[in-house]
Amino acid sequence: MRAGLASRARTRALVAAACACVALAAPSTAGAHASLQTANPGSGRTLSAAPQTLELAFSEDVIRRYARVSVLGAHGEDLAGPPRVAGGVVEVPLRPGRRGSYTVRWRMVSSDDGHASAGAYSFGVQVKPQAPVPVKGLTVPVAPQLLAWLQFLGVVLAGGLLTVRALVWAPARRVLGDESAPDATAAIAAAVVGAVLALHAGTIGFLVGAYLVIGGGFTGFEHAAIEPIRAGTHAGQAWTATTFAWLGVLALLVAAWVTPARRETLLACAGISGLAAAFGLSWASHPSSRGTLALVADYAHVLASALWVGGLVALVLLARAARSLPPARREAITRACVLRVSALAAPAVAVVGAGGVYLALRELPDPSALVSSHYGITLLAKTGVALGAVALGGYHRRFVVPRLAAGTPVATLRATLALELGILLAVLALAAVLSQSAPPG
Amino acid sequence: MILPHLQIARAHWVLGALFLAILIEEYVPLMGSDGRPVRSRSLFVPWGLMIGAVGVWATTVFADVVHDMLVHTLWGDILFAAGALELARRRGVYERPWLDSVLPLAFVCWGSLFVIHVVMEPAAVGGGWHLAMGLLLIAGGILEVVRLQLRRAPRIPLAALPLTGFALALIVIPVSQAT
Repeated sequence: MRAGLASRARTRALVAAACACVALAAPSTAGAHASLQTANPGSGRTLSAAPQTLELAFSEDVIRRYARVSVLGAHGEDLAGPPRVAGGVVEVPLRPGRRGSYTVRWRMVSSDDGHASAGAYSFGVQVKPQAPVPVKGLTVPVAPQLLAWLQFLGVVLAGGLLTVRALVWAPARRVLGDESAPDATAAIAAAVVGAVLALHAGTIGFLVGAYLVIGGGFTGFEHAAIEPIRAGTHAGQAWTATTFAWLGVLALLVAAWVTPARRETLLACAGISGLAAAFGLSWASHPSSRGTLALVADYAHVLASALWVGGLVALVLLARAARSLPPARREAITRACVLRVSALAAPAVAVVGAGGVYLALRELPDPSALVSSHYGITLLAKTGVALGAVALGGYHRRFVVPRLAAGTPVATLRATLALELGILLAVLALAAVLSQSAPPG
Repeated sequence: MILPHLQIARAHWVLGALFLAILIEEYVPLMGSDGRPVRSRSLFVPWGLMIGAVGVWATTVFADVVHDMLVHTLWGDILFAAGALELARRRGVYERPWLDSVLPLAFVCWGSLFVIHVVMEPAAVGGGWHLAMGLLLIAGGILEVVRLQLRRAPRIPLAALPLTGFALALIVIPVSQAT
């Protein structure tokens, strides 16, 4: 009786608290720093002729002495004249400009609180605007390449690993009889690490990219207006979408952890969501500016790579987790999974190769760029190391897998499997370097 | 899209209501069939924390300045981790004695982030209120940690007072500051 009363009182209290969420009224807004309210030409606009003036309107009055505005063309030429300030409106006369994309970079100090704020955006004259160009000579303490590598790892661990597990484990279970997967906990832990890495490396990577564009030192950047870069660039759009995608992946992983009865289904959903999140990497990459086909090729290249590397990680985790099983069971499970991963790896490697060749042809203006540009040399190095992994995979498929199918112990595969995985992680590192290098021409 | 201050204030309002509901669920005593107080196994609290985490991460994504992004990123992480651990405990998947301290320590961490938010931007709108709300959270968290160490704990914990104060402040203050 008392339990029932307490329960009803609790329900009523929860309903009352939830009702508080509903009654949201609609008055006006207030501001803090001098944030950019409107701009003419605005962010992402394409104009038919070069503008003669630039007008920026801020939420608060700004100090004329500290107002800085530059309007940079593709070759670094600054079209901006001295800014004229009237309250919160800054008007900048512009020198005549040509067809092309222009980066507007501004820095203001509010006359109310004395705080500096900064921002950048781009507009185009007769062309679609490019992303704002980075400030020359600016360095950051975090290598963007490392952040890109961590994002690749996240896609491999959350997307590739879990998707391959779903493709491998369910059929193996049908063959071996209904049994819970011994590697499920390890796979969840690895996927959580991957999703957390991807989520945070993506956020830091976006901030590093924005800092390089806005400039002005860390203190000024703390109050920088980030919105034009988030909404107006592929990198920002990709970050916005992938942040929510990775949160969804994490929620699915938590649900899989606490719901053993539906674990495999939830893990499969998390894996597919992780692969979907990988589209953000392609959307923010160079090929996305080269048309839909290049974007699709890049995404296919990333997906197939994630499945290839994720499959190897899945096998390593399975081999470790299966140690606790009786030898005969362990051998049967591992053999069934190795044979299926091997069957999936071959088409994945083919897609990786085809996508890579197509993208190289699109990005390199001529064959000599392979040895005369930083991008080309990195691409050569990546291809060389990847061919080593392909050769090892071919050895597995040609010699080891038939022996396993004939009954040879799985342990013979362990050393070369770890070597193949190590090589592929190095390939991912080179891919990260490549993703942060500008293609020649 | 930028979230204007009023939208951010509304988001705080929703989070405040969610937090109040979590407090009621967690601290209003629940009696077992034998008449003794029992700990709730309802999934409302952990899912509330994780939904709150997604809301806070949304503020990270749609914030118009960088320091707001940084603070809300950490906020979201703590909310999500606390929600995941609470969910595992309440579902009986992962039970450890230290899990009792997860919520109180999360309160202390959120309170500290409120204080850091004020330190990073002392002239911001509602800076004094942010500070007061952070201190309420820290006080609530510490009182709850102390209660967990006591053998004979009171039926309604003392921590509920500052924590309820925080929830009500989160509902009332941001909108009144933004209008």
